[in-house]
Amino acid sequence: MIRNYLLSCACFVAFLASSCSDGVITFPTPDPAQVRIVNVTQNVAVTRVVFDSTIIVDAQRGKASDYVQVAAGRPLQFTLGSPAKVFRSNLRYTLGGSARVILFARGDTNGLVEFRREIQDTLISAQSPEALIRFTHMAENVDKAYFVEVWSNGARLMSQEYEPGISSPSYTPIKPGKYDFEIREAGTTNVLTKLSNVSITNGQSYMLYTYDAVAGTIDNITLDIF
Amino acid sequence: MILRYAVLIIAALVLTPSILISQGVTTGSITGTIKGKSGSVSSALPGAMIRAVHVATGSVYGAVSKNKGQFLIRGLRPGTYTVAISCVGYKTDTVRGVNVDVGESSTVNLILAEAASTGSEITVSVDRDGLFDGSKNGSGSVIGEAVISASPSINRSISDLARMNPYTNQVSTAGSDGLQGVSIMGVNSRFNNFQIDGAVANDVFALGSAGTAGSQANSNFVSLDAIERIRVNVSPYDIRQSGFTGGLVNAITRGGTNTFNGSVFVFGRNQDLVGNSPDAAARPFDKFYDVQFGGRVGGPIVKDKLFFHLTAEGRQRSTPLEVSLDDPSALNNFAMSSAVLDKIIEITKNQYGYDPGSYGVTNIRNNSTSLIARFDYNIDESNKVQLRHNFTYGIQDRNLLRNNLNYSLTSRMNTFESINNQTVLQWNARINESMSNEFRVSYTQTNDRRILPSNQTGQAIAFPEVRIQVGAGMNVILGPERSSQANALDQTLIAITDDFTWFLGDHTITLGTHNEFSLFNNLFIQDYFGSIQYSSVDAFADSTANYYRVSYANTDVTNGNPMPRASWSMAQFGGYVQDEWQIDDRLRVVGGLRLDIPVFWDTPYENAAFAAAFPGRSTSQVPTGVMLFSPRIGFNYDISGDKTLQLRGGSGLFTGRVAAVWLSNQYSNTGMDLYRAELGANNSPNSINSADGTPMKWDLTRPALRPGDSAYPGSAINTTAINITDGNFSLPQVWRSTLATDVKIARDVTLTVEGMYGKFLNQVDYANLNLRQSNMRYISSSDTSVGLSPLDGRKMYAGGTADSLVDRRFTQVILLRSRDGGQQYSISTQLKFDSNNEFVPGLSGMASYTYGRTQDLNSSTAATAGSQWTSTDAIDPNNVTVGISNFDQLHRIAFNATYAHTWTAGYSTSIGLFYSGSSGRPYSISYAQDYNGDNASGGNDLVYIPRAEDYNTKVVIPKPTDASDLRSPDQIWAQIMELVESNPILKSYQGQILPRNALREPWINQLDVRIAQDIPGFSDHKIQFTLDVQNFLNLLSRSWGLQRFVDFQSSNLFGLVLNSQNKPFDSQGRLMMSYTEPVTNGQAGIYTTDNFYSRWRMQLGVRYSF
Repeated sequence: MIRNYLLSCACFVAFLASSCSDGVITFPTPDPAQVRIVNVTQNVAVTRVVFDSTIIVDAQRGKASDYVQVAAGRPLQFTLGSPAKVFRSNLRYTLGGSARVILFARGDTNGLVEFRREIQDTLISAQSPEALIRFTHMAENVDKAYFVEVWSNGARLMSQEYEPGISSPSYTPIKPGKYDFEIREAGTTNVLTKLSNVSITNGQSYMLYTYDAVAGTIDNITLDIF
Repeated sequence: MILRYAVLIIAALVLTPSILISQGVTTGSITGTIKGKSGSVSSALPGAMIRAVHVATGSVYGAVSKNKGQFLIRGLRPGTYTVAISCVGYKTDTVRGVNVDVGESSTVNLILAEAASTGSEITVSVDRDGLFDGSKNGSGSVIGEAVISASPSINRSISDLARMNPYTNQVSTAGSDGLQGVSIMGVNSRFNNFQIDGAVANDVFALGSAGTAGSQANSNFVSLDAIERIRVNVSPYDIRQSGFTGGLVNAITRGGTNTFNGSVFVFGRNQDLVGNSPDAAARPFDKFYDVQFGGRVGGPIVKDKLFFHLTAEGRQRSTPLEVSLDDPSALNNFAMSSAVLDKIIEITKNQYGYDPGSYGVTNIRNNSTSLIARFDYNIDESNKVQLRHNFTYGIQDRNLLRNNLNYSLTSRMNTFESINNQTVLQWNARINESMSNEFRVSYTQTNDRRILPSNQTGQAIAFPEVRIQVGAGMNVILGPERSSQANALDQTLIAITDDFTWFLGDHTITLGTHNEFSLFNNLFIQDYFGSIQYSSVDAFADSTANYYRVSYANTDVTNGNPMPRASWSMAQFGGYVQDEWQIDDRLRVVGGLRLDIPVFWDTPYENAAFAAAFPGRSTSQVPTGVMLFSPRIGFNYDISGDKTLQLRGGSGLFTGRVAAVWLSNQYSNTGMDLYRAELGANNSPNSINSADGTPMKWDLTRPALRPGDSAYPGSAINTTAINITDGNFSLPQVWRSTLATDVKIARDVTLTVEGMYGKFLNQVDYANLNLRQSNMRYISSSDTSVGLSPLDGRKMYAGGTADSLVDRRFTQVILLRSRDGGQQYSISTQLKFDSNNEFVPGLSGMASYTYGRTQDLNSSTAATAGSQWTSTDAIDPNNVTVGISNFDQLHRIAFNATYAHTWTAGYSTSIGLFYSGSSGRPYSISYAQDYNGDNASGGNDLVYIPRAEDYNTKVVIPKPTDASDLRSPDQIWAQIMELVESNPILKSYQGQILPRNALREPWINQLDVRIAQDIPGFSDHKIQFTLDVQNFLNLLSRSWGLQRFVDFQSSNLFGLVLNSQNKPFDSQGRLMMSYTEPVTNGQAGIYTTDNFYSRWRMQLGVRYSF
């Protein structure tokens, strides 16, 4: 009898305990976002961004890093600097699930700044017969190059003029093939920089961007793409 | 003689005043039946002499059996007795080893053989198990000396022992090494009655959370070495025990004996005996020490007559406050560069001439001293007197607020000093064979004060508390803490108790009185030096503040006294009568009635302007003379007839106590003796700008600005908070019923199943009478739901608008009142095993599982009336509904055990362990912003849980205005829905308001261990080495034993977007919500991992006993 009694008690306890965790919130995590770093600084050879104290992303000057996965849906803490020094801490974004963000790092070794863009690279289907391209003007030491136009293969590629760092670019369809891109002083035929023999593949989106070729020199800009 | 006692009792009942009900039982009793055997027939033996001798002291107690052979000896000092029974014509017999415990009755039944008979025909039945004591009806437990000495405890506090009761739960102060209070039956520890030798030892004013006198300075009221037994009662139907709606904890001190004995001890620990931080960084604890030392000695002054026992204990402790600066990897991090703090320090020193102190790791000093002396005097066989004095002195550094949102410089800190003295005199008298009396008077004096940083002349430096915003919701704070600037409290408590017992054989009548006087002298002027806030470091440098508060005396009323004290007194008269009826050998029933009447001797100032503005209300009205009746009945039925299976229970009212601070608030907030000025608040009529509208420059080197000063903004008017108490306010009560069965399932192994149900009456409740209901129509001008939320129908107030208050001369008008509501129920299974059990001899302890639910109106976690009102998350804060208590226990598995093994003579090892696995604390989800316009800061409005179909129909997500938030409204909504539908509780409340405390913190496992090794010294002396380990599981694995909590048991998980009228609705009446997955201390989620209690902690000790 005692044995049955104990068994009943144990079953009762198990039944009650089974509801122990109902009220404990575990937060569902949205699909992670992705971030890529572009080093368009004046003179920082390698920029380093550290997300949530754990995810380290390095980018050579003038180049873009690969995309890295980061947490979405909550404030994402990060620092910006070089491998040797943190220039800015307590930076944060809150990104939506599956969002893609391109983070341009500007400035110099006296003070790095971040410049953000939210770019949905997945807008184009991989089966699309076309590609998409957009442009960001990230050169800072500019005079004649303050307003620029984007040309390709001798024709105006995008209708608008671009200001350094400010304009929010939109995508322009582009057919697959080989391209010579030029950045011209707005309203002139003055070519400030160019990037030749670039292969554009269908079903992909591209970012064309400028940056200062040499720190401290005016209108000495260069062009790259990823 | 009888007449004299009757007069004494009536005089005590009628004439002696009192305060808060609380009393207990300090002695035990022996009862039984004496029969004589003549031939083969046994019959009741009246007139037999029973002499009980307390073995340790030789104290003698006597009784004579009644007509049916029954006898009762009351007022026995707990311990082991030798009982001798004699009767003319019968053989005298002696029974040894009768254990008497506090509040319990040991049974001795004997059948004496005729003197002429041959052989031994004496039949003796002695029940040594308190559980099967016929007087046990309700729920309660006794923790004996052996368990106290063998159980793990680092703080050496009574709560470390009381937690063994299945209905208790230790209440910790997150992140600190402080004393832990004990919640009983899911009720705030403030509603417990804590006693030493039956005398009130509560933190009567109840500013602290531990609930014991002296705990405000984090010091034990009495050394654990002075404690012999601890009784925890949850539902005692003995009418003498009262003064709680939670539980009663009564610690019985050691007394001297005929043998000189004592011990000296030292316990210590430092940073090397504390585990690493429970985060990825696994940092070692900063420099730390904690030393406890002392001793005790007791013995006879006159053998068998007069005894003494002295205990002294000291403690020196220095605990680091670990909050890092700008270190994302730290568990507790204030994410701000030290350069910002350097800048603030520089401005404060150079511009305002004030030293704001420093930042970085700061150690909190906490020292205490306790002395206790007890004398026991056996005047004669009929009269025993006990005199005890207890002294406690404690200091603790306080108010260095540092967390991820606030960082205080050391100038905010002060030293809290607490001095406690208590004297208790108890006189136990046997009047004649049938009557006895227990009389006790206690005098308790508590003096608390806060010592602020002072100048060279010893004067506190008058500087306001300065709060500088340095980031989103982040503040650096300096200057003396605003509530400590003028804060001191003196309390005097006098308690008089008398219990007269008349033993009539089958019936035992108890007539008693318990009366308490309380005198309070409270200095509390918040913002006496002012408190001021700046929106940025630049604003601080520019001397342009955005918020200012100051309180000051109306010297016309206070006779020129700039620091008036609320000096008031109250009393509580209590009287009771009880009949304990032994119906037959198996059934005992007890019934009683108690009456308590609180009386206030002093009335607060009358504020005529307030009375005119709020007709029917008065600042001078006090709830005096409200009568509280407490009927109770209990029973114990021995089903088996051999005390192996019993049914017990009872039902009755228990009248509790309230924290005196809640009553004192009225005396301190009449708007007459103290004025309050507030500039720059959202709903204040007073702007902080100069008369021409330009930002005013604040000179902090001058005394705090007040209305009337030339520099004070000319348009400002005086405002004040008012606290009043409803004339019908009554002390809280609980109608608690118990039904339990105990069965002996093997030798010294007992199984108990116990259920309890309680109904709360007269719950503490608050309302802000200065709130005006909104007259807004939210959906359209034809909307008929004026002043109601268009989403969920909750009542909306006019907060955030210019005419939000009933009367703008007053800020909050908080009414303290009583309301019935709330309940508690529990079922518990307990397996007790004593060291003589047949399964594991030497192992004793208890394993229990308890399921409990407690629902209340207000869990009463705060001190000020305003905080009491806002700290309860509610749908309507002026009409809160019953919800789960903050102290609700839900599931608890508890296990405590001690085991001793003797290797060779004198060499023994003992192990004591305690495990508690319990549901996490409950918590609520409230909006960060003010949903209902009640002007309550901090977020007290319970959230509406949206449904998928609510999107863009009832709820909208505005695009985030924070530039760093790159999410679209659709993405945010998807996150909300995913969260809501992933949790069973949230999902079940979709389309409704989530009730208070619907969610739980994660399950908590705690395992504490003590290992003691005895080594013989010379003679019978002994040396004992001890090792205490708290949170042993964390020592085994870094991921075990973690304690995670939600700050203030309320999470602002969902946010609101407010419109231009500070309302959270768009033009179509849709709720404008926001949501971001929370990050707490750098980690995703809402749970803070306790940086102290989540670590293992060790303490080494050595004791020399003689």
